[in-house]
Amino acid sequence: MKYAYYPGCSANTSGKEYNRSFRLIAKALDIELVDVPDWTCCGSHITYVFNPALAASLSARNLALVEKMGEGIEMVTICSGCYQTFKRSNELLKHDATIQAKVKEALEAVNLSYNANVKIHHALEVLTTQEALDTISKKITKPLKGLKVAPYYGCAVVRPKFEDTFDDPENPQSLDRLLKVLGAEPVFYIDKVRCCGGVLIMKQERVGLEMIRRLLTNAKRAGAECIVTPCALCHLNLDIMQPKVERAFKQKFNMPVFFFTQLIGLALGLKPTELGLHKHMVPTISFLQSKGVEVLV
Amino acid sequence: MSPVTHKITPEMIDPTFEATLKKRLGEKGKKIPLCFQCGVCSGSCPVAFAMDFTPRQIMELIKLGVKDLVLSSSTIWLCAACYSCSVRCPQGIDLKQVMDTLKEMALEDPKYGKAEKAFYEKFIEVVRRNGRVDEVALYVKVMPKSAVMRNLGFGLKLYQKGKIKLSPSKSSADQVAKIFEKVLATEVQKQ
Repeated sequence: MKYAYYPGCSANTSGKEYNRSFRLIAKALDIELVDVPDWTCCGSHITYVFNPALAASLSARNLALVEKMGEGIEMVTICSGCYQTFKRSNELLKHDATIQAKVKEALEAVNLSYNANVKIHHALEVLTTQEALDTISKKITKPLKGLKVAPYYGCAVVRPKFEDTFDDPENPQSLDRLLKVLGAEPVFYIDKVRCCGGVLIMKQERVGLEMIRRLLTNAKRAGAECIVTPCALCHLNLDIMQPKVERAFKQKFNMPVFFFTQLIGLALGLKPTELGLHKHMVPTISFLQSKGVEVLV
Repeated sequence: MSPVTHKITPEMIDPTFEATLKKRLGEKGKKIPLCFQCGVCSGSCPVAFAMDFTPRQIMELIKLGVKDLVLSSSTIWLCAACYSCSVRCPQGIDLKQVMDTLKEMALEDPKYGKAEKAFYEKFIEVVRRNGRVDEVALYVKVMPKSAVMRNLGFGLKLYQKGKIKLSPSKSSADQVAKIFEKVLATEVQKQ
């Protein structure tokens, strides 16, 4: 299987290890990733508020580049925000004549054109098809035996509901299924699709911290020993901001947060450092060892 | 939450407010009158605890034409754009899109959203200049200087973990700048 790969901006900063681990497991599972050349910002929902035509044009530039990569090639991204933005732009470019006209003009200025035909996938979607789960299951060498994990999907990967959204907006199952294949135990997590606050942490820190605190509290109450997510922004909030939450509310969580690609990598026998597990704020490697998960060091 | 005791005065009212909003929302605007105040949006909203008006109250204020309270509410800026309300509304109202459009209207009107405007402008500026977004560059730009100083130790730890880099990533910024120029120029012509 071959995909045009759009890493998204967070792949170079807070989601570095997400990008790295996705590339590694794609290789291990014979999924070919060809980077979209000179990709730029997807537009993002923030630009959408400021100027929808501008946001759609920024999306379309990247999608036009994907179209040039070959007939019928489909795109995959690890960023939930980019996934949502691209889908939204595609939908507007199919149905909204005003936006279509503006985007066409904007792309002409950079000698590009886009026909709104590129299919957009999230890495979680690509790695949890029955076929992918079967391949993963055959290649597991280090199952995550009995690890109790809260499957945290966040918002953008399941909402809003587009024509071809791959999972349920209220009670998605893809991550749950994957965890079972990896040998882990998904706990029943009431907040699996509840928003982490996203960029509110930058604009209204105290509100953001309170939202994160709730997610961590309910994960703990559900019996989870760690959390897994397919979103770099959720990871930033849950892992990087966790010490801040602990300080603000005088509450200790000690809740490691993994990208789902890292858990796949561990089960496939990849080294924790290759997967960037040492890059997290909440210690992960000592945690895994304490849970009796066999990890290569 | 403390009880809201606003007195609606004539200056707060714009009788054309609902119609304007509906028009801007296009097809989606047609659903606005269908709101029957069930409150599923407010019950689903993960940020409702911090808002001055809940999403349900905003819907009612829209119908009452109280533009001033809507556009100066904290609600529209606290909306985290998570779409929980939109997927659950039994009347099929895309409330997240309503919030987006209210934000747009507030940003256009010098009376509202002054503090918020800076965030959007700085975000756009980072994209225009670099072609890509760098969370740290954005964080530093958006944060008040005092908060940046308070977070220095935290920043250092992130740097050690390789989570932030000092030089922002850039890509085809010239092309992105051209797209900006083109789209924003046609907007100005239109006005």
